[in-house]
Amino acid sequence: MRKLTLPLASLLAVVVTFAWVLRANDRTVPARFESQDGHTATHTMGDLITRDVVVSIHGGQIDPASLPVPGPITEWAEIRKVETDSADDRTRVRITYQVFYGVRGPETAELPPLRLRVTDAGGSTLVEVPALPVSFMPLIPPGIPDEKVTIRATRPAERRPFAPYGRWLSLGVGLGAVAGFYLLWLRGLLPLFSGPLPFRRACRELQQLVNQPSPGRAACLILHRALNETAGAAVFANGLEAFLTRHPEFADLRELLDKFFALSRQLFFAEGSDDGVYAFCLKLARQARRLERRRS
Amino acid sequence: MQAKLRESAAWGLLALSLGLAGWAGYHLFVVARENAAIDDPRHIIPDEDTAPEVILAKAQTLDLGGDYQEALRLYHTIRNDPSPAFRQRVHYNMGTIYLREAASLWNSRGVLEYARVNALVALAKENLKEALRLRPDDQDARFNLEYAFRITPPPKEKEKANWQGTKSSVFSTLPGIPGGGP
Repeated sequence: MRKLTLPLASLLAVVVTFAWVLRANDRTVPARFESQDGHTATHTMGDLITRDVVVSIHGGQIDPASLPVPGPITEWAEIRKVETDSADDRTRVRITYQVFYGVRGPETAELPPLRLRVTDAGGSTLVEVPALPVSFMPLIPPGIPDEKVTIRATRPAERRPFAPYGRWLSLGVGLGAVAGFYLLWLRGLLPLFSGPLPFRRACRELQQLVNQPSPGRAACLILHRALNETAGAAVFANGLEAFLTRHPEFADLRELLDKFFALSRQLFFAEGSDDGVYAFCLKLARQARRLERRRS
Repeated sequence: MQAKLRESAAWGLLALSLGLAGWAGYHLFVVARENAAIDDPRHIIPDEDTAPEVILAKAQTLDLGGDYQEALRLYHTIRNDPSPAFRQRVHYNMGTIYLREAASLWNSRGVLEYARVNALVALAKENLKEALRLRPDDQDARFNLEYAFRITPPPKEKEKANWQGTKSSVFSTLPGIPGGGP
Protein backbone atom coordinates (compact mmCIF):
# COMPACT_ATOMS: atom_id res chain seq x y z
CA MET A 1 0.00 0.00 0.00
CA ARG A 2 2.82 2.36 0.88
CA LYS A 3 4.40 1.46 -2.40
CA LEU A 4 1.43 2.92 -4.22
CA THR A 5 1.02 6.05 -2.14
CA LEU A 6 3.99 7.92 -3.50
CA PRO A 7 3.26 7.38 -7.23
CA LEU A 8 -0.39 8.31 -6.67
CA ALA A 9 0.56 11.48 -4.85
CA SER A 10 3.02 12.35 -7.61
CA LEU A 11 0.40 11.76 -10.27
CA LEU A 12 -2.09 13.94 -8.41
CA ALA A 13 0.49 16.68 -8.06
CA VAL A 14 1.23 16.56 -11.78
CA VAL A 15 -2.47 16.78 -12.67
CA VAL A 16 -3.06 19.70 -10.29
CA THR A 17 0.00 21.51 -11.61
CA PHE A 18 -1.09 20.97 -15.21
CA ALA A 19 -4.59 22.28 -14.48
CA TRP A 20 -3.18 25.33 -12.71
CA VAL A 21 -0.85 26.03 -15.61
CA LEU A 22 -3.73 25.73 -18.08
CA ARG A 23 -5.85 28.10 -16.03
CA ALA A 24 -3.01 30.53 -15.72
CA ASN A 25 -2.50 30.35 -19.47
CA ASP A 26 -6.17 31.07 -19.98
CA ARG A 27 -5.96 34.16 -17.84
CA THR A 28 -2.96 35.44 -19.66
CA VAL A 29 -4.44 35.18 -23.19
CA PRO A 30 -4.18 38.81 -24.18
CA ALA A 31 -7.02 40.78 -25.69
CA ARG A 32 -6.34 41.27 -29.37
CA PHE A 33 -7.70 42.75 -32.57
CA GLU A 34 -9.43 40.13 -34.68
CA SER A 35 -10.87 41.72 -37.79
CA GLN A 36 -12.48 44.72 -39.39
CA ASP A 37 -14.56 44.85 -42.52
CA GLY A 38 -12.78 45.60 -45.77
CA HIS A 39 -14.68 48.46 -47.42
CA THR A 40 -13.99 47.62 -51.00
CA ALA A 41 -16.79 49.89 -52.21
CA THR A 42 -15.87 53.35 -53.35
CA HIS A 43 -17.33 56.31 -51.59
CA THR A 44 -18.28 59.83 -52.52
CA MET A 45 -18.59 63.12 -50.74
CA GLY A 46 -20.76 63.00 -47.62
CA ASP A 47 -21.03 59.21 -47.43
CA LEU A 48 -21.58 57.46 -44.13
CA ILE A 49 -19.05 54.65 -43.64
CA THR A 50 -19.64 51.97 -41.06
CA ARG A 51 -16.55 50.26 -39.69
CA ASP A 52 -17.01 47.07 -37.68
CA VAL A 53 -14.04 46.20 -35.49
CA VAL A 54 -14.04 42.86 -33.68
CA VAL A 55 -11.82 42.49 -30.61
CA SER A 56 -11.23 39.33 -28.55
CA ILE A 57 -11.50 40.36 -24.95
CA HIS A 58 -11.21 37.03 -23.03
CA GLY A 59 -13.36 37.98 -20.11
CA GLY A 60 -12.25 41.60 -20.01
CA GLN A 61 -14.07 44.63 -21.27
CA ILE A 62 -13.23 47.58 -23.40
CA ASP A 63 -12.51 50.66 -21.36
CA PRO A 64 -15.22 53.11 -22.49
CA ALA A 65 -12.73 55.95 -22.15
CA SER A 66 -10.62 54.41 -24.91
CA LEU A 67 -13.52 54.26 -27.38
CA PRO A 68 -13.52 56.94 -30.05
CA VAL A 69 -15.95 59.77 -29.47
CA PRO A 70 -18.21 61.45 -32.04
CA GLY A 71 -16.67 64.50 -33.66
CA PRO A 72 -14.08 65.42 -36.28
CA ILE A 73 -11.02 63.14 -36.44
CA THR A 74 -9.29 64.38 -39.58
CA GLU A 75 -9.78 67.27 -41.97
CA TRP A 76 -12.11 65.11 -44.02
CA ALA A 77 -13.71 62.60 -41.65
CA GLU A 78 -15.97 62.79 -38.64
CA ILE A 79 -17.24 60.12 -36.29
CA ARG A 80 -21.02 60.28 -36.09
CA LYS A 81 -21.82 57.30 -33.87
CA VAL A 82 -20.04 54.60 -31.81
CA GLU A 83 -21.82 51.45 -30.69
CA THR A 84 -20.49 48.37 -28.92
CA ASP A 85 -21.97 44.91 -28.81
CA SER A 86 -20.47 42.06 -26.78
CA ALA A 87 -21.07 38.36 -27.30
CA ASP A 88 -19.02 35.52 -25.77
CA ASP A 89 -15.42 36.64 -25.67
CA ARG A 90 -15.72 39.11 -28.50
CA THR A 91 -16.76 42.72 -28.63
CA ARG A 92 -17.86 44.37 -31.83
CA VAL A 93 -17.24 48.10 -32.01
CA ARG A 94 -19.29 49.72 -34.75
CA ILE A 95 -18.11 53.18 -35.72
CA THR A 96 -20.06 55.29 -38.18
CA TYR A 97 -17.99 57.90 -39.97
CA GLN A 98 -19.04 60.64 -42.33
CA VAL A 99 -16.49 61.61 -44.93
CA PHE A 100 -16.06 64.98 -46.66
CA TYR A 101 -13.23 64.14 -49.00
CA GLY A 102 -13.12 66.28 -52.12
CA VAL A 103 -11.39 64.57 -55.04
CA ARG A 104 -10.98 65.29 -58.75
CA GLY A 105 -10.33 61.65 -59.63
CA PRO A 106 -10.28 58.26 -57.91
CA GLU A 107 -8.21 58.41 -54.73
CA THR A 108 -7.59 56.34 -51.66
CA ALA A 109 -7.30 57.66 -48.15
CA GLU A 110 -7.12 56.02 -44.76
CA LEU A 111 -9.34 56.30 -41.77
CA PRO A 112 -6.89 56.59 -38.87
CA PRO A 113 -5.94 53.62 -36.67
CA LEU A 114 -7.59 53.11 -33.30
CA ARG A 115 -6.17 52.14 -29.94
CA LEU A 116 -8.60 50.39 -27.60
CA ARG A 117 -7.84 49.50 -23.99
CA VAL A 118 -9.21 46.20 -22.68
CA THR A 119 -9.27 45.82 -18.91
CA ASP A 120 -9.63 42.65 -16.87
CA ALA A 121 -8.68 41.42 -13.43
CA GLY A 122 -5.06 41.08 -14.45
CA GLY A 123 -4.70 44.66 -15.70
CA SER A 124 -5.20 46.28 -19.05
CA THR A 125 -4.09 45.55 -22.60
CA LEU A 126 -3.86 47.95 -25.51
CA VAL A 127 -5.35 46.68 -28.74
CA GLU A 128 -4.14 48.33 -31.92
CA VAL A 129 -6.67 48.49 -34.75
CA PRO A 130 -5.01 49.27 -38.07
CA ALA A 131 -6.00 52.15 -40.34
CA LEU A 132 -8.82 51.47 -42.80
CA PRO A 133 -8.18 52.30 -46.44
CA VAL A 134 -11.13 53.90 -48.17
CA SER A 135 -11.36 54.74 -51.86
CA PHE A 136 -13.14 57.79 -53.20
CA MET A 137 -14.67 58.78 -56.50
CA PRO A 138 -15.63 62.30 -57.55
CA LEU A 139 -19.26 63.27 -58.11
CA ILE A 140 -18.33 65.88 -60.69
CA PRO A 141 -17.06 64.10 -63.80
CA PRO A 142 -13.29 64.51 -64.20
CA GLY A 143 -12.17 66.69 -67.06
CA ILE A 144 -14.79 69.41 -66.67
CA PRO A 145 -13.12 72.76 -66.01
CA ASP A 146 -14.14 74.44 -62.76
CA GLU A 147 -15.74 77.38 -64.54
CA LYS A 148 -17.97 75.02 -66.54
CA VAL A 149 -19.44 73.31 -63.49
CA THR A 150 -22.99 74.41 -62.73
CA ILE A 151 -23.66 74.73 -59.04
CA ARG A 152 -26.89 73.14 -57.82
CA ALA A 153 -29.51 75.78 -57.12
CA THR A 154 -30.85 76.93 -53.78
CA ARG A 155 -34.16 75.49 -52.67
CA PRO A 156 -37.42 77.37 -52.41
CA ALA A 157 -39.55 77.48 -49.29
CA GLU A 158 -42.03 74.66 -48.95
CA ARG A 159 -45.70 75.33 -48.49
CA ARG A 160 -46.90 74.28 -45.08
CA PRO A 161 -49.15 71.22 -45.13
CA PHE A 162 -52.73 71.57 -43.99
CA ALA A 163 -52.47 68.24 -42.21
CA PRO A 164 -53.43 67.39 -39.56
CA TYR A 165 -55.73 70.37 -39.10
CA GLY A 166 -57.96 69.36 -42.00
CA ARG A 167 -58.66 66.03 -40.38
CA TRP A 168 -59.33 67.64 -36.99
CA LEU A 169 -61.70 70.11 -38.60
CA SER A 170 -63.56 67.30 -40.35
CA LEU A 171 -63.78 65.39 -37.10
CA GLY A 172 -65.05 68.45 -35.22
CA VAL A 173 -67.62 69.29 -37.87
CA GLY A 174 -68.72 65.66 -38.09
CA LEU A 175 -69.13 65.28 -34.35
CA GLY A 176 -70.88 68.65 -34.15
CA ALA A 177 -73.27 67.62 -36.89
CA VAL A 178 -74.05 64.35 -35.13
CA ALA A 179 -74.61 66.13 -31.81
CA GLY A 180 -76.69 68.82 -33.51
CA PHE A 181 -78.88 66.33 -35.34
CA TYR A 182 -79.36 64.37 -32.15
CA LEU A 183 -80.45 67.51 -30.30
CA LEU A 184 -82.82 68.46 -33.12
CA TRP A 185 -84.22 64.96 -33.11
CA LEU A 186 -84.66 65.10 -29.34
CA ARG A 187 -86.68 68.29 -29.74
CA GLY A 188 -88.75 66.94 -32.61
CA LEU A 189 -87.36 69.42 -35.08
CA LEU A 190 -86.38 66.80 -37.63
CA PRO A 191 -89.64 65.82 -39.37
CA LEU A 192 -87.95 63.27 -41.62
CA PHE A 193 -86.47 61.31 -38.76
CA SER A 194 -88.87 62.09 -35.99
CA GLY A 195 -91.25 59.19 -36.59
CA PRO A 196 -94.92 59.53 -35.61
CA LEU A 197 -95.52 62.71 -33.63
CA PRO A 198 -99.23 62.74 -32.88
CA PHE A 199 -99.29 66.01 -30.95
CA ARG A 200 -97.26 67.74 -33.62
CA ARG A 201 -99.82 66.70 -36.18
CA ALA A 202 -102.58 67.63 -33.78
CA CYS A 203 -101.16 71.13 -33.48
CA ARG A 204 -101.15 71.50 -37.24
CA GLU A 205 -104.74 70.26 -37.53
CA LEU A 206 -105.88 72.49 -34.68
CA GLN A 207 -104.40 75.53 -36.36
CA GLN A 208 -106.48 74.77 -39.43
CA LEU A 209 -109.63 75.06 -37.29
CA VAL A 210 -108.91 78.57 -36.21
CA ASN A 211 -111.47 80.21 -38.52
CA GLN A 212 -114.29 77.73 -37.97
CA PRO A 213 -117.38 78.97 -36.07
CA SER A 214 -117.37 76.45 -33.18
CA PRO A 215 -114.20 74.39 -33.29
CA GLY A 216 -114.41 73.03 -29.71
CA ARG A 217 -115.74 69.57 -30.51
CA ALA A 218 -113.42 69.05 -33.45
CA ALA A 219 -110.49 70.23 -31.36
CA CYS A 220 -111.34 67.75 -28.62
CA LEU A 221 -111.58 64.94 -31.14
CA ILE A 222 -108.19 65.82 -32.58
CA LEU A 223 -106.58 65.82 -29.12
CA HIS A 224 -108.27 62.51 -28.19
CA ARG A 225 -106.91 61.00 -31.38
CA ALA A 226 -103.41 62.25 -30.59
CA LEU A 227 -103.61 60.82 -27.06
CA ASN A 228 -104.88 57.48 -28.32
CA GLU A 229 -102.19 57.33 -30.97
CA THR A 230 -99.50 58.11 -28.42
CA ALA A 231 -100.79 55.46 -26.03
CA GLY A 232 -101.50 52.89 -28.75
CA ALA A 233 -104.96 52.43 -27.27
CA ALA A 234 -107.97 54.51 -26.33
CA VAL A 235 -107.26 56.70 -23.31
CA PHE A 236 -110.10 57.65 -20.99
CA ALA A 237 -110.18 59.77 -17.88
CA ASN A 238 -109.88 56.76 -15.59
CA GLY A 239 -106.91 55.47 -17.62
CA LEU A 240 -104.96 58.72 -17.36
CA GLU A 241 -102.70 57.52 -14.53
CA ALA A 242 -101.79 54.39 -16.46
CA PHE A 243 -101.02 56.55 -19.51
CA LEU A 244 -98.76 58.87 -17.47
CA THR A 245 -96.97 55.89 -15.98
CA ARG A 246 -96.13 54.62 -19.45
CA HIS A 247 -95.35 58.12 -20.74
CA PRO A 248 -93.73 60.02 -17.88
CA GLU A 249 -92.64 62.78 -20.25
CA PHE A 250 -96.23 64.06 -20.05
CA ALA A 251 -96.32 64.03 -16.26
CA ASP A 252 -96.12 67.81 -16.11
CA LEU A 253 -99.39 67.96 -18.04
CA ARG A 254 -101.34 65.93 -15.49
CA GLU A 255 -103.57 68.83 -14.40
CA LEU A 256 -104.14 70.02 -17.96
CA LEU A 257 -105.01 66.50 -19.11
CA ASP A 258 -107.44 66.11 -16.18
CA LYS A 259 -109.05 69.36 -17.14
CA PHE A 260 -109.15 68.29 -20.79
CA PHE A 261 -111.03 65.08 -19.96
CA ALA A 262 -113.46 67.06 -17.81
CA LEU A 263 -114.06 69.57 -20.59
CA SER A 264 -114.50 66.81 -23.13
CA ARG A 265 -117.03 65.01 -20.93
CA GLN A 266 -118.97 68.18 -20.40
CA LEU A 267 -118.89 69.05 -24.10
CA PHE A 268 -119.95 65.69 -25.46
CA PHE A 269 -122.19 64.33 -22.71
CA ALA A 270 -123.59 67.41 -20.97
CA GLU A 271 -123.96 69.53 -24.07
CA GLY A 272 -121.81 72.21 -22.52
CA SER A 273 -120.63 75.32 -24.23
CA ASP A 274 -117.46 75.11 -26.29
CA ASP A 275 -116.32 78.59 -25.35
CA GLY A 276 -112.58 78.51 -24.71
CA VAL A 277 -112.33 74.80 -25.48
CA TYR A 278 -110.47 75.37 -28.72
CA ALA A 279 -107.91 77.70 -27.10
CA PHE A 280 -107.39 75.26 -24.27
CA CYS A 281 -106.92 72.33 -26.66
CA LEU A 282 -104.43 74.30 -28.72
CA LYS A 283 -102.42 75.23 -25.62
CA LEU A 284 -102.41 71.63 -24.39
CA ALA A 285 -101.41 70.30 -27.81
CA ARG A 286 -98.50 72.74 -28.03
CA GLN A 287 -97.15 71.76 -24.61
CA ALA A 288 -97.56 68.08 -25.41
CA ARG A 289 -95.73 68.61 -28.71
CA ARG A 290 -92.71 69.95 -26.85
CA LEU A 291 -92.72 66.98 -24.50
CA GLU A 292 -93.43 64.10 -26.85
CA ARG A 293 -89.87 64.00 -28.27
CA ARG A 294 -88.49 63.36 -24.82
CA ARG A 295 -89.79 59.87 -24.90
CA SER A 296 -87.01 57.43 -24.30
CA MET B 1 -83.93 61.73 -16.12
CA GLN B 2 -82.35 59.55 -18.76
CA ALA B 3 -83.57 61.88 -21.48
CA LYS B 4 -82.08 64.87 -19.67
CA LEU B 5 -78.80 63.03 -19.35
CA ARG B 6 -78.80 62.30 -23.07
CA GLU B 7 -79.58 65.88 -23.89
CA SER B 8 -76.77 67.11 -21.62
CA ALA B 9 -74.35 64.67 -23.23
CA ALA B 10 -75.40 65.89 -26.67
CA TRP B 11 -74.83 69.51 -25.63
CA GLY B 12 -71.42 68.57 -24.22
CA LEU B 13 -70.46 66.78 -27.41
CA LEU B 14 -71.67 69.71 -29.47
CA ALA B 15 -69.59 72.16 -27.41
CA LEU B 16 -66.53 69.91 -27.62
CA SER B 17 -66.80 69.41 -31.34
CA LEU B 18 -67.36 73.11 -31.95
CA GLY B 19 -64.25 73.85 -29.90
CA LEU B 20 -62.25 71.30 -31.88
CA ALA B 21 -63.54 72.64 -35.17
CA GLY B 22 -62.74 76.21 -34.09
CA TRP B 23 -59.20 75.30 -33.07
CA ALA B 24 -58.55 73.39 -36.29
CA GLY B 25 -60.16 76.11 -38.37
CA TYR B 26 -57.95 78.77 -36.79
CA HIS B 27 -54.84 76.74 -37.59
CA LEU B 28 -56.01 76.14 -41.13
CA PHE B 29 -56.50 79.88 -41.51
CA VAL B 30 -52.97 80.53 -40.21
CA VAL B 31 -51.48 77.90 -42.53
CA ALA B 32 -53.39 79.29 -45.50
CA ARG B 33 -52.18 82.80 -44.69
CA GLU B 34 -48.59 81.59 -44.39
CA ASN B 35 -48.83 79.68 -47.64
CA ALA B 36 -50.07 82.80 -49.37
CA ALA B 37 -47.05 84.65 -47.97
CA ILE B 38 -44.73 81.85 -49.12
CA ASP B 39 -46.21 82.01 -52.62
CA ASP B 40 -45.67 85.75 -52.85
CA PRO B 41 -43.23 86.96 -50.18
CA ARG B 42 -42.33 90.25 -51.88
CA HIS B 43 -44.38 92.38 -49.53
CA ILE B 44 -43.49 90.53 -46.36
CA ILE B 45 -41.53 92.49 -43.79
CA PRO B 46 -40.09 89.80 -41.52
CA ASP B 47 -40.25 90.31 -37.78
CA GLU B 48 -40.03 88.09 -34.71
CA ASP B 49 -43.48 86.64 -35.29
CA THR B 50 -42.94 85.75 -38.93
CA ALA B 51 -42.97 82.00 -39.54
CA PRO B 52 -39.51 80.58 -40.41
CA GLU B 53 -40.75 79.13 -43.71
CA VAL B 54 -42.00 82.58 -44.74
CA ILE B 55 -38.61 84.09 -43.87
CA LEU B 56 -36.96 81.41 -46.00
CA ALA B 57 -39.26 82.32 -48.88
CA LYS B 58 -38.42 85.99 -48.43
CA ALA B 59 -34.68 85.24 -48.31
CA GLN B 60 -34.98 83.11 -51.45
CA THR B 61 -36.77 85.93 -53.25
CA LEU B 62 -34.15 88.46 -52.15
CA ASP B 63 -31.37 86.16 -53.33
CA LEU B 64 -33.00 85.62 -56.71
CA GLY B 65 -33.39 89.39 -56.95
CA GLY B 66 -29.65 89.86 -56.43
CA ASP B 67 -29.65 91.00 -52.79
CA TYR B 68 -27.80 87.96 -51.51
CA GLN B 69 -26.36 89.75 -48.47
CA GLU B 70 -29.80 90.60 -47.10
CA ALA B 71 -30.85 87.03 -47.95
CA LEU B 72 -27.94 85.69 -45.90
CA ARG B 73 -28.85 87.99 -43.02
CA LEU B 74 -32.37 86.52 -43.02
CA TYR B 75 -31.03 82.98 -43.29
CA HIS B 76 -28.87 83.63 -40.22
CA THR B 77 -32.00 84.44 -38.21
CA ILE B 78 -33.55 81.05 -38.90
CA ARG B 79 -30.56 78.72 -39.05
CA ASN B 80 -31.13 77.47 -35.48
CA ASP B 81 -34.72 76.40 -36.07
CA PRO B 82 -35.62 73.30 -34.02
CA SER B 83 -36.74 71.32 -37.06
CA PRO B 84 -33.72 69.44 -38.49
CA ALA B 85 -35.27 69.17 -41.96
CA PHE B 86 -35.87 72.91 -42.11
CA ARG B 87 -32.42 73.70 -40.67
CA GLN B 88 -30.91 71.45 -43.32
CA ARG B 89 -32.51 73.48 -46.12
CA VAL B 90 -31.36 76.74 -44.54
CA HIS B 91 -27.76 75.53 -44.31
CA TYR B 92 -27.89 74.17 -47.84
CA ASN B 93 -29.11 77.50 -49.20
CA MET B 94 -26.56 79.49 -47.21
CA GLY B 95 -23.72 77.23 -48.31
CA THR B 96 -24.85 77.42 -51.91
CA ILE B 97 -25.01 81.22 -51.87
CA TYR B 98 -21.51 81.47 -50.36
CA LEU B 99 -20.25 78.96 -52.91
CA ARG B 100 -21.84 80.79 -55.82
CA GLU B 101 -20.22 84.06 -54.79
CA ALA B 102 -16.87 82.36 -54.20
CA ALA B 103 -17.01 80.63 -57.59
CA SER B 104 -17.95 83.84 -59.32
CA LEU B 105 -14.99 85.65 -57.78
CA TRP B 106 -12.61 82.75 -58.30
CA ASN B 107 -13.50 82.29 -61.93
CA SER B 108 -13.40 86.00 -62.74
CA ARG B 109 -10.56 87.35 -60.58
CA GLY B 110 -8.60 84.28 -59.53
CA VAL B 111 -5.90 84.75 -56.91
CA LEU B 112 -6.40 88.50 -56.96
CA GLU B 113 -9.37 87.89 -54.67
CA TYR B 114 -7.59 85.17 -52.73
CA ALA B 115 -8.67 86.28 -49.25
CA ARG B 116 -12.33 86.78 -50.10
CA VAL B 117 -12.59 83.57 -52.08
CA ASN B 118 -10.96 81.66 -49.27
CA ALA B 119 -13.35 83.10 -46.68
CA LEU B 120 -16.41 82.47 -48.85
CA VAL B 121 -15.37 78.91 -49.65
CA ALA B 122 -14.76 78.21 -45.97
CA LEU B 123 -18.26 79.46 -45.12
CA ALA B 124 -19.72 77.44 -47.99
CA LYS B 125 -18.00 74.29 -46.77
CA GLU B 126 -19.11 74.84 -43.20
CA ASN B 127 -22.76 75.23 -44.18
CA LEU B 128 -22.82 72.44 -46.74
CA LYS B 129 -21.15 70.07 -44.28
CA GLU B 130 -23.81 70.92 -41.72
CA ALA B 131 -26.48 70.29 -44.35
CA LEU B 132 -24.93 66.88 -45.01
CA ARG B 133 -24.66 66.09 -41.33
CA LEU B 134 -28.39 66.70 -41.08
CA ARG B 135 -29.20 64.80 -44.28
CA PRO B 136 -26.35 62.67 -45.60
CA ASP B 137 -28.22 61.60 -48.75
CA ASP B 138 -28.69 65.16 -50.05
CA GLN B 139 -27.13 64.81 -53.50
CA ASP B 140 -27.19 68.53 -54.26
CA ALA B 141 -25.31 69.34 -51.05
CA ARG B 142 -22.76 66.62 -51.87
CA PHE B 143 -22.25 68.00 -55.35
CA ASN B 144 -21.86 71.59 -54.19
CA LEU B 145 -19.52 70.63 -51.35
CA GLU B 146 -17.31 68.73 -53.77
CA TYR B 147 -17.24 71.78 -55.99
CA ALA B 148 -16.29 73.89 -52.97
CA PHE B 149 -13.29 71.62 -52.45
CA ARG B 150 -12.39 71.94 -56.15
CA ILE B 151 -12.27 75.71 -56.06
CA THR B 152 -10.53 75.96 -52.71
CA PRO B 153 -7.54 78.17 -53.53
CA PRO B 154 -4.17 76.51 -52.96
CA PRO B 155 -2.31 77.73 -49.89
CA LYS B 156 -0.79 81.08 -50.69
CA GLU B 157 2.94 80.92 -50.83
CA LYS B 158 4.69 82.95 -48.23
CA GLU B 159 6.34 85.99 -49.77
CA LYS B 160 10.08 85.81 -49.87
CA ALA B 161 12.06 88.35 -47.89
CA ASN B 162 13.31 91.08 -50.16
CA TRP B 163 16.41 91.72 -48.15
CA GLN B 164 19.49 90.33 -49.80
CA GLY B 165 22.85 90.94 -48.13
CA THR B 166 25.77 91.63 -50.43
CA LYS B 167 28.42 91.64 -47.84
CA SER B 168 29.74 88.57 -46.14
CA SER B 169 29.53 89.92 -42.62
CA VAL B 170 27.39 92.43 -40.85
CA PHE B 171 30.51 93.72 -39.18
CA SER B 172 31.71 94.97 -42.50
CA THR B 173 28.76 97.37 -42.52
CA LEU B 174 29.87 99.05 -39.28
CA PRO B 175 31.33 102.44 -39.87
CA GLY B 176 35.07 102.60 -39.31
CA ILE B 177 36.84 105.14 -37.23
CA PRO B 178 38.01 107.99 -39.38
CA GLY B 179 41.71 107.96 -39.88
CA GLY B 180 41.95 104.24 -39.48
CA GLY B 181 42.26 104.35 -35.70
CA PRO B 182 41.44 101.30 -33.56
